[in-house]
Amino acid sequence: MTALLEPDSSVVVADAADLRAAIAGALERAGCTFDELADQARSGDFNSIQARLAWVAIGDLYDVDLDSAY
Amino acid sequence: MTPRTDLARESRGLADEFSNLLNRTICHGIRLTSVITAGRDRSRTVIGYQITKDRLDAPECIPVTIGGEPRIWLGFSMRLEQDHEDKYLMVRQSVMLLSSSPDPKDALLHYDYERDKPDGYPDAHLQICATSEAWERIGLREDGSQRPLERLHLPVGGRRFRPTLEDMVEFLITDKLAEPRDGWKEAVEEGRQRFQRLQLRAAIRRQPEVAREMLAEMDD
Repeated sequence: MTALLEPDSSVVVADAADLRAAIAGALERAGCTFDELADQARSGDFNSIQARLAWVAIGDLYDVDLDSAY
Repeated sequence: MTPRTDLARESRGLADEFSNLLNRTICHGIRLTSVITAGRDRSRTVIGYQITKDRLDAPECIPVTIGGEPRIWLGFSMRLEQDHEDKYLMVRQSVMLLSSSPDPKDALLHYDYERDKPDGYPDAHLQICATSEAWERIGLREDGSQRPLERLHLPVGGRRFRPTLEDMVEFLITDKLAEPRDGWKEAVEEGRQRFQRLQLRAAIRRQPEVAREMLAEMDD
């Protein structure tokens, strides 16, 4: 997968394991489950700035099967 | 997932543009990173400061200083993907915040953008992390619930005219909250013109008949 990219510290490519860790960490810092985060997004009322930042970073991955995505 | 070469190149270009803007104006030696991952039906990228492959949610804010001790920090996170025609890189969401410490938990305000926001609030809005007795009174809503100032969505111009990083930089300098580098105005103006040109092109793609009408008027 990385063969398409020139080595460059400003761009990195994450694999499925990285992404799972990113999702778990973001939810832990947001203090909620993915379902709860999605609820907060639907109501437009995030409980914290960490939840808002988590939604930017991972919100579109809600309900995505990462195994098939990769 | 095979990332598109364009996404890598374009997201690198954008991350470098933002880094250069900050380093030419109110920061010193910072570098934003772009992390490309698989997504629901297309590759996507998150651009931010100190983000890594397994930490995408803006761990730290950027110190606003060109040499001295910072007293304010800037948080930045942006998610992009290619549009449905796979022709253009499109911002899906972004957050720009000011914080009183490197920790985004200490945010003072944040500008949020969410394209096609489904909850009825404006796609681009400002939330101010402060309160007062007057705001607490006003925050008692028509349905009896309480909504503090920091959860109100103050509209800021919509998709095409939303505030940009250049606006935030200019605000910090003109309000004397940050010491600028020489030549900061040129850097801000260059970035602003790039953004406005992209927005204009997008607007014309959506409504070419308006552009044709205007050009015809100008030719008359």
